[in-house]
Amino acid sequence: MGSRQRIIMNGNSAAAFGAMLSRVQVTAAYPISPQTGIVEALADMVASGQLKAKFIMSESEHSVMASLIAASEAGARVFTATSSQGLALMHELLHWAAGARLPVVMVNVNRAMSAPWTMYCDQSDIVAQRDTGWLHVYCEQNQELLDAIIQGFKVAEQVLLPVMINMDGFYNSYTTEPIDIYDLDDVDRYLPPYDPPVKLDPQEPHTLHGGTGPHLFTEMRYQAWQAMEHALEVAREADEEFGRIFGPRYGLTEAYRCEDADLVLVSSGSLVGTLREVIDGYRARGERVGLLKIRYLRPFPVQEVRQALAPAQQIVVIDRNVSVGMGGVFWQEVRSALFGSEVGDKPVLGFIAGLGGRDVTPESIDEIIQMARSNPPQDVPIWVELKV
Amino acid sequence: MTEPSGFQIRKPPAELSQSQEAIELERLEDYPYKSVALGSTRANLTGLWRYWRPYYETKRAPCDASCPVGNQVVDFIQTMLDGRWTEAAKILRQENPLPGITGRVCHRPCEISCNRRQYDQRIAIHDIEAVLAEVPYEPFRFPPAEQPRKVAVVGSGPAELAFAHFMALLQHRVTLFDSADALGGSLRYGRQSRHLPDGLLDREVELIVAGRIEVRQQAVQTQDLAPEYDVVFGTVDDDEHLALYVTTREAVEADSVPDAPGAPAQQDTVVAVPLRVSEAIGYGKWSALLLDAEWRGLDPAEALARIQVGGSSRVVSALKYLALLTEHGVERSEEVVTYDKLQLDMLEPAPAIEAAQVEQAQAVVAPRFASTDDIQHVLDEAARCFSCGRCNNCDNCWVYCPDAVISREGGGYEIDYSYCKGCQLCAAVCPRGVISIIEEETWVRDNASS
Repeated sequence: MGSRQRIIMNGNSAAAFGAMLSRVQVTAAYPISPQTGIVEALADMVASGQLKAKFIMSESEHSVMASLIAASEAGARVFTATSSQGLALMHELLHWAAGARLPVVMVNVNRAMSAPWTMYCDQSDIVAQRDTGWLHVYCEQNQELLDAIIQGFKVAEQVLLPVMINMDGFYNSYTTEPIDIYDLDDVDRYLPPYDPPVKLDPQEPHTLHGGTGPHLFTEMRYQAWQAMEHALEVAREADEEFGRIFGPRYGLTEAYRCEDADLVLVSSGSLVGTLREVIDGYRARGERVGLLKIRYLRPFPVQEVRQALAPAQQIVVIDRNVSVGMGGVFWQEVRSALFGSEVGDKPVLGFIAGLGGRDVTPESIDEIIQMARSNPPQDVPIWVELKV
Repeated sequence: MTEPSGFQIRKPPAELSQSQEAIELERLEDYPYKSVALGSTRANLTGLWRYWRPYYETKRAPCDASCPVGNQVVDFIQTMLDGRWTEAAKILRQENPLPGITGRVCHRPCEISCNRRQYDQRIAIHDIEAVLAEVPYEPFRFPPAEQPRKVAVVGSGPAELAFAHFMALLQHRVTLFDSADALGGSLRYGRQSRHLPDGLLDREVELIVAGRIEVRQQAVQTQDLAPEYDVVFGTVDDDEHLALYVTTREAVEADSVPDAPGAPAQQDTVVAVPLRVSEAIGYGKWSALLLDAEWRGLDPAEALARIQVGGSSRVVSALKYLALLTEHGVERSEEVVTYDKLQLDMLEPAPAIEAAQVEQAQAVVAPRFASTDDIQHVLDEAARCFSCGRCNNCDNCWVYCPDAVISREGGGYEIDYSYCKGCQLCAAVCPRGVISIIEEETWVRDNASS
């Protein structure tokens, strides 16, 4: 493993360092809590010359994504970060970036969607962008976030799809942790310069993404589908290679103490850290409880999820988001992945917890496990610690 | 169903990228990985969508339209601003034989009608004219008439000088009779003379007569000259009006010789005009050009319609007459670009020339006109000209065209009608009303034969 500096920093700074180590060439951003620290850190890096990039001050997130799309079409490696309402404002251009097959990498510091107005953590902003055609990566802690950015470019530039990386607002963005800042030469070895197959070129002008009739459109979408499917393999390889060079390996999912577990908790983001502690406690008492961490929501690693959940008698999905009218998004995804498979015929319970920044404590998890063991209904989500 | 091909990043094939043909993609593996147009979009002639057709059409500025002499004011100002001084002086001289005079003693209808007057302050056109009158120019000539005529001019005021000048330009044999010691008539002996710097009139007269006009210092009677000359031109003035008379040999032979000495009786044509220098010059010119047209067998009414300026039948352009004779058409509409036709949002205020500088400009005569530094304030003033109706290459159309179909060509612009959709934005951003709009259907109908 190469040399590195270990620096105490919060998640926002880690994200900016991730972009810097990736030698991002153009960054545009609009500040929004709890993401502002990323914009400030990037601006500092560009101003000091630490990051040789063009920093585009933008008047809205919509303009941010529009300018990054253009810069990416011109062949630049581009990065941005946003949150909640800002992410929602980008929505139409998120589709565009994916349809245009541009390897944009973006960090979303999640924050519940208003109304009512809130600044605090939940995933309702990012899960709403699930179908925009981006890869979606959920990070548990800040080193993982920095690593996911470098890996994100590695994957994005091979499959030519954009990557959205989620970090939990407040729990990660404002929490300081020791972060390894890798040697740039090592990162350069891992992540070669971006060389797009097609880019804007005055010497060879083309119209990009013009009016496309029904006779052509389906095949264009199908190619994005193929790229997303292929991304599973590319992401695994990227993670593997990253591990060889830098140490950490994350996987697309992580099955923690699942092998003989009769109950497996499934979740994502910073909540996974709490779950690890709780599960270690249960295991210490001889109770067979396991954990499945889902990092990739898109492409959804169906086979890995089925495999990890095969031994379980009961599955509990804890969502820090809710699709009102159906339930948590990860719950729906897990149920879909298992349905009809050889491991499909087992109860999958959906729990909604931690919305709008409410803490999900070890006691909350205890309550969830107790509730799960009482065999509650499986067809509706269960709202944790709801004041009834 | 066959299995689709696996994941691939397929670059668009170069040979397809150059194709002008519609491209059929039969199999997934024919598709590029991203939606890059394979063929050039040039095959898509979007100009076919056009309902309105924009086109460049030089029009008439109010200054031109109101000038009794028929000066092409915007043309000489803009040409001078281009740095083409000799060319600018020629444009001035070919319409006006006495620019040094009119630059100082004109009643200035051009400045009164100047669009800029409604915006901030009028352009000091006469100061520019007075300066330009000192610039050397290339003389120009009309094609000679088959049969040169003998022309007598009685007197040497502005009307007579103008008549004599144009007749000489038209290559007729001109004799000028004046009993005074020096030529110039009212310009020398009248109330205007005090506005003219010493020597200016002498030089202007010299430019007109030298080598072209025979001058006889004698008092004559029209009726004595009439039998010998094809035409006799003269003027008689009272306190308010100037009467111009043209007596032809035919009129004399038909026994209509003037009987009172010096009085314009029994002549072909008499026109009374206000007693103003510019009006006099304008009518001298008008008479010469139309008489020549008649001699050349042209229909006078038709000739007048072809050479008049700004829709006035009393003002004619020598340049347009030259075009009429040489069949080299002057592409210019006589539609006047009035103030309401300007795009004021595209124009900017600018300080006008100061009174002291006006005096300085008026005092300029050739010996003292050493360099452009002396007249920088006049150039600044010229730069204020809105160039109403005349393209001055401001680039607005070129910049704003949303389809980039306007190109800079040959010092002007060209519209690529294969792709112009007729949005008219070019016309909307043209500050000076140069771009006209016509219904495509009408244009096609009018141009179907040609």
